Amino acid sequence: MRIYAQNRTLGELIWAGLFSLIFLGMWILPLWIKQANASGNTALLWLAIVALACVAAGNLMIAVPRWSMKLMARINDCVYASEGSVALDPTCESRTRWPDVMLAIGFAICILAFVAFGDLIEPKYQQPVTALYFVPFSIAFILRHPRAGHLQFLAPLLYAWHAVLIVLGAPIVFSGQLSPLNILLPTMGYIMFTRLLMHLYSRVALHKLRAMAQVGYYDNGSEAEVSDNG
Amino acid sequence: MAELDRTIHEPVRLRIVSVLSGVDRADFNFMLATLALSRGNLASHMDKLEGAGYVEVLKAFSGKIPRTEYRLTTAGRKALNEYWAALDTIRAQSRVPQRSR
Repeated sequence: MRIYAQNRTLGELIWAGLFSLIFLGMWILPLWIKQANASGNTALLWLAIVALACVAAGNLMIAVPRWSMKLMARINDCVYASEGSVALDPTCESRTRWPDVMLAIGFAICILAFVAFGDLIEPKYQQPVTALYFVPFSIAFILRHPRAGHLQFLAPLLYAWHAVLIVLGAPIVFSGQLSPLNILLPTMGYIMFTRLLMHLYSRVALHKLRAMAQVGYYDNGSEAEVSDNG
Repeated sequence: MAELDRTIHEPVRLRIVSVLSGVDRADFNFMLATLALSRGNLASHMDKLEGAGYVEVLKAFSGKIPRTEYRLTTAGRKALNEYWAALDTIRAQSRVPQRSR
């Protein structure tokens, strides 16, 4: 039961997709702004600035756990409407909020610092540098919200492993125009892979749970019956 | 012989409290889908469990949609544990020692 409930992550997969779009926007839009500014294309410049403002608002919404949890809850309500809702831990909702807020602010500062000064870092080492804040913040967030299950640790661990491989010289680095993929691919790739794995795990757990809850039972709409061999 | 709690001993109610014992709370639709019961049957068993003080019914609204959630009470959790303990006792008492040939 807990395994099923902890791994209901189809909503998080959708959330990860939204996060990818925001991440992509944070990389591509400043480039557009630079290009539009250099070529004097005022229309494109304003369009990109407005789009960047929207992306920044989206980033803020995802970075603040309270808001992102609300968004996630809404997505989950839609996705799992036919399966109903299940809650694991009442303490998650009543606990103090300030550590989550501090985490969100710290994470947002790190992202903004990286966006501002990321160009100063050699492309090869950009992913390992992001791992220095992405991994601890992710692990801290998971520890604050342990209802998501242990499999969730897989994403930051894979991200850290990816950074170690790059530092050791593994040929998994993109250059030139594709250099944003150095961060986007491992971040979203590992997050989505982990969520997909958790979702599949929840399906197996649900199947087992239903098999356990219905073994030998046939509902005739009036009174409970149990088969002799059940 | 150990006494079995007849409220929990009923197969459907045993499944209901077993499912609820694994979570903090679950809503009506979740119980319906997991246990594959008819609405009337589930509601009637839930009434009995609520009457015995084993299940707490939480009525709330999700936007404009009413939502009924169920939570196992402390008494319900205790009754379930005692039920399993009673079954274990019965099983231990009925175990026949194997004779060596």
